[in-house]
Amino acid sequence: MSGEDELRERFRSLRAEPNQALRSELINEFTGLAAYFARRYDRRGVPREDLHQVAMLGLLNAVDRFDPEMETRFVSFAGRTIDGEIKRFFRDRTWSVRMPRRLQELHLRVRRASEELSHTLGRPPTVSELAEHIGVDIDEVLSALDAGNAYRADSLDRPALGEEDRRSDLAALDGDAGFVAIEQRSLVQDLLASLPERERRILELRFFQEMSQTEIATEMGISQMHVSRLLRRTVEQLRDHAGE
Amino acid sequence: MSSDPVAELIELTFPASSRFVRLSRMAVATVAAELNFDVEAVDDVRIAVDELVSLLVQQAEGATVTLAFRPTQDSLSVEGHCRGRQLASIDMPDLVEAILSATTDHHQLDTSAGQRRFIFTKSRPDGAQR
Repeated sequence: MSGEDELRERFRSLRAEPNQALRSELINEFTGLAAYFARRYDRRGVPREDLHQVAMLGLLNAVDRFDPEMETRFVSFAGRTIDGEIKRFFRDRTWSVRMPRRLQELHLRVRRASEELSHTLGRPPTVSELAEHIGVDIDEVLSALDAGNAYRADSLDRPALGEEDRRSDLAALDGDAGFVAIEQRSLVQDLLASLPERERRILELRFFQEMSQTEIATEMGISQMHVSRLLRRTVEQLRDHAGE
Repeated sequence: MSSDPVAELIELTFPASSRFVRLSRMAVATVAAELNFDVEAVDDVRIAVDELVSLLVQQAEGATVTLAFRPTQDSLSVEGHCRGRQLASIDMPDLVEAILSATTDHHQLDTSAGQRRFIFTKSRPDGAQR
């Protein structure tokens, strides 16, 4: 049996019966493919670790959706899925607000520190614990956390920002409209239905099943800070749609 | 758990405009950080204030919003009201209700005609100490 045939057999087995160990095994085998696609999009102003995380989500989706009866080879299918996930990420989440480089970097340091401390402490860290860990003051941590809001819809075609454009433009974050425009339950349901599967799932888990961000992060295999950012971005997206 | 109020009361007053929603978000995050809330709880109160203040300022030109932050030993209470003339009633969308239920321990909102006020409380999660 060829390697490709054997791989298809394993997917048939996975489709026939849920098998977490086999699923993890398949994901691990193709981690290199995710890393390859993440590297292709390096140097576009998005942190490498974010790209890797998005590529891994693409791989997870590919493993969960691949149909072994299709003619397409898994590696081609996974490549397209990962590439699509990364492109969607760029389309939806690039820093669209001109965020000073220092604040972007601080935001990333805060995220990393939050993950490290959550692991060490067994709970999410407090703002003062984060400040102490990183060696900055509390105000800076709060600004960095708020900077997470700046991930918004953007385009891959957007030119890279020059240094002169990196001046703070946090005022652009203002103008929140709230959900006040949403008055009908059916409209809310339509809006939810319009969201990508993952974002809808996060919103449902947080606001309707009242799971914590940490619990959602564990369930979805992403960081708590990533959940926080997706949550806020999704809420903003719904507001935007509601206002249209 | 004690719920005795601590000495400080923090008030913030600003024009009823969506331009100041971020200000209220930063203010509540600062007070929550002072209370040693963890980052998730800080995120929760920020989301709650974001939604509630956005509701208060809707169609409220010329009005003024005041937020009062009341920290206790183990929780934070936030009250907000909007003062102005001829404030129309606003319905609270279901999704906002779901968001507030998930992010606060208790919340109340009155947006009937002429009224724009809310209160919510959020306890400090176990683990972090003040």
